[in-house]
Amino acid sequence: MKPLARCTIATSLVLLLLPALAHAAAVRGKVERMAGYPAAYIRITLNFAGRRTSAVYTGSDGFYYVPKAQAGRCVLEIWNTKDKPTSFQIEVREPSTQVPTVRLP
Amino acid sequence: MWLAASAKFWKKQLARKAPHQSRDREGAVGFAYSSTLIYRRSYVPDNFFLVTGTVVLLPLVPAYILFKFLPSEAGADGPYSGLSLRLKGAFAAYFIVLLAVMSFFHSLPSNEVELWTIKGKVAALGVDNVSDLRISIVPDQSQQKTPDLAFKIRVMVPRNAQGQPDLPNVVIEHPLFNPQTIHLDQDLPDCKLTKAKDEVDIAGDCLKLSKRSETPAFETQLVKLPEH
Repeated sequence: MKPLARCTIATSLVLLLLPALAHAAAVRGKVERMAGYPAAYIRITLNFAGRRTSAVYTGSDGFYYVPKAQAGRCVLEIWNTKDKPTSFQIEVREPSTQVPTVRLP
Repeated sequence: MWLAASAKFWKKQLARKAPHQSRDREGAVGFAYSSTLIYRRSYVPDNFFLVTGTVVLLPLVPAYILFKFLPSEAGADGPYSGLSLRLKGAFAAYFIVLLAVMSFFHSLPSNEVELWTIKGKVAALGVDNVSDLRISIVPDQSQQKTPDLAFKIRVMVPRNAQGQPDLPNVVIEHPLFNPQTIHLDQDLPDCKLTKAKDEVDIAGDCLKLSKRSETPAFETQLVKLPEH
């Protein structure tokens, strides 16, 4: 096999395996109302430059957990109203990122 | 005798559906007036047209047999539902058997799940977010949980504008674990959802909950963005 062909195959393999090597980060936090009680079953998404993660919902205690997010800066979207989220800029780091408690009106 | 045979048939038909298939029972209607709760139920089975067709057509058989082999001038008359009826011949026999079959059908015992509607209105001053109002059913008969943490949920699924089932999301939570959301209308890459006609089976490791404080976390800053 020619060196060029070997190099091409090796590069292709590396490129193919790169996504598998990338680790995912977990993002967790809590949503509360201004009155001080947990905001239950609120839809949460992370927006990475237009690419949204699959939505998760806060539990009955207001806590949410996004298990597989990519590291980097993103927008935390809290869908308090149906069409317009309340947005916050956050930074996600591996392996786990804690977001301060968000208080909604 | 044929009534007994028919009873067996219909009991079998009704028993065919598993108890979790609550959509067998539709058409429940409820009424509520301020704090007084009144509820009512009705029953329309899945095979409604089959049942109706059978109830209407079945009495034709004995009526035909009776008047084919034993012709007579039999008749039936009297008041029925506010009307004065005077029926003659085969139709009189048909009508009487029809009434008998209908009353028999309505008296069939039911051992299935029924869908009920409960309506009401809560009076609580100062509640701005209706989504924060949670109403629980105790005991929650829609859920069955076993000690091995298996569960079964009976849920009412409406259809969307395209006529497809508008499946809800499932949120699984425990005070010691992170909550997990399952989207029943999506195929997740690492989560196998087996969908049948009216059943979703969540298999594999989809529902593996992670402990709340499993790993030390990086604490990010929270910068509010302007609303669009």
